[in-house]
Amino acid sequence: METLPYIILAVGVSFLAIMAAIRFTLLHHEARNKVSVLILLGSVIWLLMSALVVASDSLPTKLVFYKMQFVGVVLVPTTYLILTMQLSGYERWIKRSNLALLSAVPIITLLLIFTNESHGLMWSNITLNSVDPFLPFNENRGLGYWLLIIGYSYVALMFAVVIFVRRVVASRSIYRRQAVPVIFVSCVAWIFGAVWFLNPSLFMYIDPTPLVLTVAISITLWKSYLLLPGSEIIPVAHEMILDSMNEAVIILNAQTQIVELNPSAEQLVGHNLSDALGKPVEGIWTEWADVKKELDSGTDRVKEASFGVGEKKKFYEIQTSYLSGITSERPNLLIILRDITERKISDEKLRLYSNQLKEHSEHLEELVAERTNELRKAERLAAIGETAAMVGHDLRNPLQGITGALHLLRQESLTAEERDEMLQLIQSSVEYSDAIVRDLSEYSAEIILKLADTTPKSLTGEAIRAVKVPPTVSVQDLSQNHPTLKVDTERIKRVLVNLIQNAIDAMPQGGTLMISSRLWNDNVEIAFTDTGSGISEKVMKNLWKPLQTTKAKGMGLGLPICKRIVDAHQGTISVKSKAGEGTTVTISLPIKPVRVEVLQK
Amino acid sequence: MSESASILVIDDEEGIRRTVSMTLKHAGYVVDTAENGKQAIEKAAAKFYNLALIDIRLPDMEGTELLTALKETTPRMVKIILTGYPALQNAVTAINKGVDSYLIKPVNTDELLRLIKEQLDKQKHESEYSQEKVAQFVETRFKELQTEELETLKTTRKK
Repeated sequence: METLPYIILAVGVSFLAIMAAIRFTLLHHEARNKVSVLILLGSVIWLLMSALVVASDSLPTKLVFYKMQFVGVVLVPTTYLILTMQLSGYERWIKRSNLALLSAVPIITLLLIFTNESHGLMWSNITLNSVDPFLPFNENRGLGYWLLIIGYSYVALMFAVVIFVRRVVASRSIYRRQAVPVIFVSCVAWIFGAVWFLNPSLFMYIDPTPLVLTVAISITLWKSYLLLPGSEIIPVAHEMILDSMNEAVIILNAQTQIVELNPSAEQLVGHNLSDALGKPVEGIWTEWADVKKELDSGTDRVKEASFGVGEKKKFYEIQTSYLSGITSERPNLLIILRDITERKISDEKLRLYSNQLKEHSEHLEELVAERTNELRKAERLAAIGETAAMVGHDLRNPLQGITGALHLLRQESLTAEERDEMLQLIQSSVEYSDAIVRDLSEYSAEIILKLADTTPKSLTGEAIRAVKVPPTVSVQDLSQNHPTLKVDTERIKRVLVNLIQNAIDAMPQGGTLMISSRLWNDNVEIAFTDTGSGISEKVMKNLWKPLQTTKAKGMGLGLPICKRIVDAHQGTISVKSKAGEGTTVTISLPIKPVRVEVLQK
Repeated sequence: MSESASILVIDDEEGIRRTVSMTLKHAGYVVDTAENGKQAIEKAAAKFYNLALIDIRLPDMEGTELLTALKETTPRMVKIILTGYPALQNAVTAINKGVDSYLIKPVNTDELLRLIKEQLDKQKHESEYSQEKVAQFVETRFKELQTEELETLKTTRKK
C-alpha cells in the first residue's frame, strides 16, 4: 500500500486541524470566528474526502467520496470571502441577501455535481485510473467544472485578496496584523493550486491544496492570529458602545426622518426605535424645535439645550456631525446629546457661591473703608476738639479783656487816660489773638524756608531784645560772632525767643540764663542753660507733642513749632533737664542746609 | 452796705485784672487784685473780701486748688470761677469745692455785675439773718439766765 503514508498524513492533519478548531471555538465565541472555523472545516472535508478517494477501491465508492470532496472545495472560497469582508471592515455587506447570492453558486455547483450522471455538465466518461493510485480517475471535465469550481474559487480568492489589500493599504494598523495570515493563507492555496494544476506530476498527482490550506488555517487559528487586537473588540464594539452610551444618539436622514436612536435617545425622545424609525423627527420629538433652533444659531460656541421645567429640568450639550451615507446622496445627520444637568447645577452653585463670596468681600472692603473713615473722622474730630479747646482757652482771655474794655469805654465817667489804656488793652489783646492764630497755622502749614546769612551772636541778640526779661533773671549771652550760617533768620529767631521765654518762665523766682554757641562738625550748636525748675519726667515724655502745656497761657505749640522749624533746617533740638536744678536746650543747625525741602505736618 | 463790699480779682492776665477791677470800681465796689494763687491766699488771709473772682488756671496753681485753700481761711467769702477752659471735670470739681458760681469767658460785663450783686445780696441777707439769729439767741439766753438768777435768789431768800 504505497498510499498509506499519505492517508495517515491527511487523517493526522485533519485530526490536528479539528483540534485547533475546537480549541479556537472554545476560546473565542464571536460570529466571525465561526466563519474561520467553517473555512477550516471545509478544507478538512476536502482533505479527508480526497484521502478517502485514494484509499477506496471501487469506482462507485471513490465517486461518492469524490463528490463529497466538493462540499469542502466550494465551502472554502465562500467562507473565506466572508471572513475577508468581516476583517476588512465591510461587515455591512454581509446581509442575508448578499449571503444568499454568495452561497447560490456553491449550492448550484453541489447540485450539479451530485446530479452529474444525468447531465454530465461537470465531467463525463469517468473511469478508474489504475496506473497511479493518486490519480483516481480518467475523465473529461465539463464546462460546469471549469466555470463553477475552478473559476468561482479563484475569483472569490482573488476578490478577497483585492479587498483585503485595499483595506490594509488604506486602513489603521489594527487590520495589518490580521491581514498577514489571511494573505498568507490565500497565497499558499493559490500558488500550490496553480502549480499542481499546471504540473500534477510534481506532487505525485496529489492535489496539495487541501493539505496546505488545512495546515495554514490550523496554524492561523492555533496561534489566534485573527484575534490580534481588534478582532474581539471591533465586531461587538460599535453596537455595544452605541447601546451603552449615556449620551443620546440620534441619526436623521436628509428628510429629518429618524434612522437611528440608541436606548438613551429612545428615553429622551420618548419613543422606541421601532416606533420612530422612518418618521419625521418633528412629529415625534416635541423638543426638536428647541434643538433645531439651537443648532441653527451661531457656529462657534458649544451648543446647549434644556428640556423640562423646575426640578425635572435637564441640560444637554449637543454635538452634531454629518455621516456620509452609502445609499443616499445627502448625508445623514448625527446628533449626540450629552446630559450635563449635574455639571450645570454644580456650575450654577459654584457661580452662586463665588458671587456671594465676591459680594461679601466687596462688602467687607466697604465696611473696612467705612469704619476707617469713621475712625479717621473721629480721630480728626478729637484732634479738632482738642485743638479747639486749647485755642478756645487761649483766645478767651484776650476776648475777656476786649469785652471788659469795651464795656468800660461806653462809661461816661471814664477819664481820658483810662480810655487810652482801654484802647491799648484792646490793641494788645487783638495782637495776642493774632499770635495764637499764627502759631496754629505755623504748626499746621508747610514751612518754606527763606534762607539768609547770619551769625549765632546776631540771632541770639535779636531774640533777647524781643523778650521782656524780668529784673530777677540775668541773661548771659556768650554766643560767638562766627561762623556764618545760612538759615531762615525770622524763623530761627522765633525758636530762640521761644526757648528764652521758656527759660524765663521756668525761673519765676529769678535765676540765670546762659546762652552759648560753638562750631561742631559743620554744625552750629546754640545752647540755653537756665537755673529754673527743670522738667519732670512726665512732662518730658510729651515735650514735643502739640497741645501739651504746663502754662496757664498758651496752647502748647511752642516746642512743637520749634522742633518743626529746626527739622526744616535739617537740624536737631535736644533737651537735658534735672528737676529742681535747671534745663539745657541745645539746637544744632547745619552751616548750610544740605537740602531745602518743604516739610509738611 | 453793698456799695462798700470788697472784691478780690485773681487772674494772671493783666488786661483782665485791669478791665474787671475798673468796671467793679465804677460800680462802687472796693477792688483788690492778685495775679497768682499765692498772692490771693495772702491777701484773703490779711483782709476780709466779700467776693473773689477766680481764674481757673493760674501760673502757680489750679483755680480749684485755690478754692480749697480759700474755703479754709474765709468760708463766708462768695467765690466765682471765671474760666476760659470750659470742661465738665473743672465745673464738677469747682462745685464740689464750694464755688458759688461758674462763668465762662468772655463774660458779658453787665451779666457779671448782675451776678456779683445778686451773690452779695444773698450774702448780706444770710449775714443779717444770722445776726438776727444771734441776737435772738442772746436775748433768749439772757432771759433764761435772768430767770435762773431770780429762782436762785428766791430759794436763798427762803432759806
